[in-house]
Amino acid sequence: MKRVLQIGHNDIRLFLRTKAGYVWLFLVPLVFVYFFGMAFRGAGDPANPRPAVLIENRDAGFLGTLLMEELDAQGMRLIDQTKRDEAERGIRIPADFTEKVMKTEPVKVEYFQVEGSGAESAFLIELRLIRAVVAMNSHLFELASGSKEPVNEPELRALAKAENPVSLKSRFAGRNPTPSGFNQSLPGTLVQFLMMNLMIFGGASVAGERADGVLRRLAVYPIRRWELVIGKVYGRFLLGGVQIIFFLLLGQFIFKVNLGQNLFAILVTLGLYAWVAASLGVWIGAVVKNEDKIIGLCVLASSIMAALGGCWWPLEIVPATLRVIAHCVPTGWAMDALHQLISFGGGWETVLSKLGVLALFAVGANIGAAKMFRY
Amino acid sequence: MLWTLLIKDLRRARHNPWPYLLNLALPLCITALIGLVFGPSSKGGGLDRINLAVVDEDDSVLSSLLRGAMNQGDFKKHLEPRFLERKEAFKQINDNKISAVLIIPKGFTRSYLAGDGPVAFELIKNPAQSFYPAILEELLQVAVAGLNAAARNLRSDLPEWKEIFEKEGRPDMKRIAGLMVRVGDRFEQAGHYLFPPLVGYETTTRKKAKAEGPALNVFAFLLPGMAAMFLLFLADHAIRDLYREVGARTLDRFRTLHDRLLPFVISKVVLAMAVVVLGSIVMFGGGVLIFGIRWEKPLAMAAVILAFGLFAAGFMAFIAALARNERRANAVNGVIVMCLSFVGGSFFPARQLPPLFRDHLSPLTPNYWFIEALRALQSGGSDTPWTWAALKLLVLGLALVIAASWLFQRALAKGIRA
Repeated sequence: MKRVLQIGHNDIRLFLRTKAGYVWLFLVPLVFVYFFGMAFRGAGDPANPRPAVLIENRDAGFLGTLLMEELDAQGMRLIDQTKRDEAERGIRIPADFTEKVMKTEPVKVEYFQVEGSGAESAFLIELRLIRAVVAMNSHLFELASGSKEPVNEPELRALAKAENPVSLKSRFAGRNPTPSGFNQSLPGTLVQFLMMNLMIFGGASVAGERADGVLRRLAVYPIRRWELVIGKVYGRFLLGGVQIIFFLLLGQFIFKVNLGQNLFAILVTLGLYAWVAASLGVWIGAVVKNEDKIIGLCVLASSIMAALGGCWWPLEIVPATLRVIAHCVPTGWAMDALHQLISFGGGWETVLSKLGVLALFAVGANIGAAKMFRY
Repeated sequence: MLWTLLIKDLRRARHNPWPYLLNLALPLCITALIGLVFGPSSKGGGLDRINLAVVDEDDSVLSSLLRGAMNQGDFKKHLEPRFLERKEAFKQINDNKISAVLIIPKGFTRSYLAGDGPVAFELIKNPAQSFYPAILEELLQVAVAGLNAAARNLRSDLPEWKEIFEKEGRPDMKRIAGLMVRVGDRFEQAGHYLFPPLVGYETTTRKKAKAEGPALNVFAFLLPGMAAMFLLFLADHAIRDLYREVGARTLDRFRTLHDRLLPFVISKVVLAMAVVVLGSIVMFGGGVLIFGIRWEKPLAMAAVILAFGLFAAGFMAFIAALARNERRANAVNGVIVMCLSFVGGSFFPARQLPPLFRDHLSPLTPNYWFIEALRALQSGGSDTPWTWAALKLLVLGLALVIAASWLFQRALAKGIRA
């Protein structure tokens, strides 16, 4: 065990002597945290989406205006009439709307959508139109069955304003909304750069030591292969620890991310994840000889894992298939656990299974590295 | 001699292509991933069924009817209802397993039928989801509009319905029949308002104004941003070859044959330009092959890319010359390229940035000129004329090449370390 610690401590000492490495360890991730956090800072309180819609009232009569009011009351985002040709969906009230209703002739409002313009937005707008149409018919029926007068504006307006016996009270659950701003960018960037740095440093330094003959020199000492592998992993894990502490301090005090509530659980999650990344780094170093090739592979692999695992955007917004794929890579599990602990207010019990999966990744990568390690 | 030096440098690059391959593969991979998440394919062909938990605390005839309705017709097509206790429903919303919880409160039916005051459903939406909770809300608002229509038009009959529902044992069929006749009479009286309803709607789906063209391709929007960043990294790697030649002492050998250093420095700038141009061909050509992008106005685009190539080579050479050794150049250039990329709109449109960046800093960055010019060419917009962008890149690039050459020449003459 002493030898494992010695190897690890020596590796971290050597790395920290290279000041240029600090740029990718601290500075570049900081740029990522800041810009991603600012660009995706979110709208604050959760709110319903408001898809854009064109509403064109070609009717000059009062019923067209009344239907517009029914639709307006439901909080749509209206498109400027001058941009009507660009509208992807819209509602058009025909010119003879009032005239036909007054003659008790059926009339149809046109709802159009452009093919492939988003099924969810289109359905949302269609439902709003149905609601307005149901209300309008109800008022007309109510007027017709209760009054001898023909359809007229004052009575219809009075009916539209009358209190309804049934309502729907809606609110958002206390569960925190999809992480945004620094709550997403800080854990996301940390997870991405831990993976990238530890894989690159782990892989390239092992390959470099092999090329320089350092590993062969170590082979003549009474150090077993597993001690060497664990020592190498431990050195990279310590490097990850430096990065984790730096970003957690920044997160807590500069970016105001709520880390204190579950600090220990967050540290355990990141520690376990750093062990996975360090093991993968040593494994790649054990398999690939060319340093440039290692850097290329590691940057590519860690970027893909970051995107798939929800480091750049929350997994809540991605299609279901990609959410499944996210859980094939360690970044996905780490982000899941960190969001639970940072954004959703979950405790230990909510992340235990995720930590278990991360531990399995770590053990797998350790075994792989130990089996394939060459002097 | 410049040509000979360029061929020699390209051969050296071929000998170890990994850094170049990485900077060519990454933009295409990242574009593909972002496009997969935010592109049209992510929206799928239609809606999935929406998971909704129903907490029926009323447990009455009307709530049973509502529950039944959710398993039929259009509701069934769009909804996946699960009937749960309040605690379990809230747990599922916390676990992001459902889009919303509908609570039918105790005494709902009784109050509705008796008309003794307003009643309300409660809908608790999942804030971690975007459209589905809103769709559920609208769907329930339609149901509420229907219940209101029934309550307002059959107001006088509802208390009697209440008595029928609340009566123990066998339902009073005669009374129900009488009620039905009364409702029928009322419908008959206003039949021309109901059969069919006076106000209806019809849906039409239009084809896109343009066929699936380049302007609508999300990948064509993303790729210029990624290309701007990774072309700078390509230029950076190419220009740092100068330091590698210092380290490998091949520069010393060159100097024993030639007394002037300028051709050597210029050859590195030309190499960086050549690498950027070749990289652009791979990236934008790859966009055509992989993402099916059809680039609009390729000649204008090529002009902008060439101008950006000159800028990229000059800029990275200038920074590398100031850094005075490869390790420092590697570190400094990385940070500068990242910052320029973020501010210039490589990762996301610059309009998403805070006002200081969006309105004052981003429009000053060459990345922004390049990205916006290519996007404008692609979409047919004329907000940023490509000629102006190309000219600015050209002039700036030329100035930086001259400055970098002078700095490098001076540093090499004094003797720098790799």
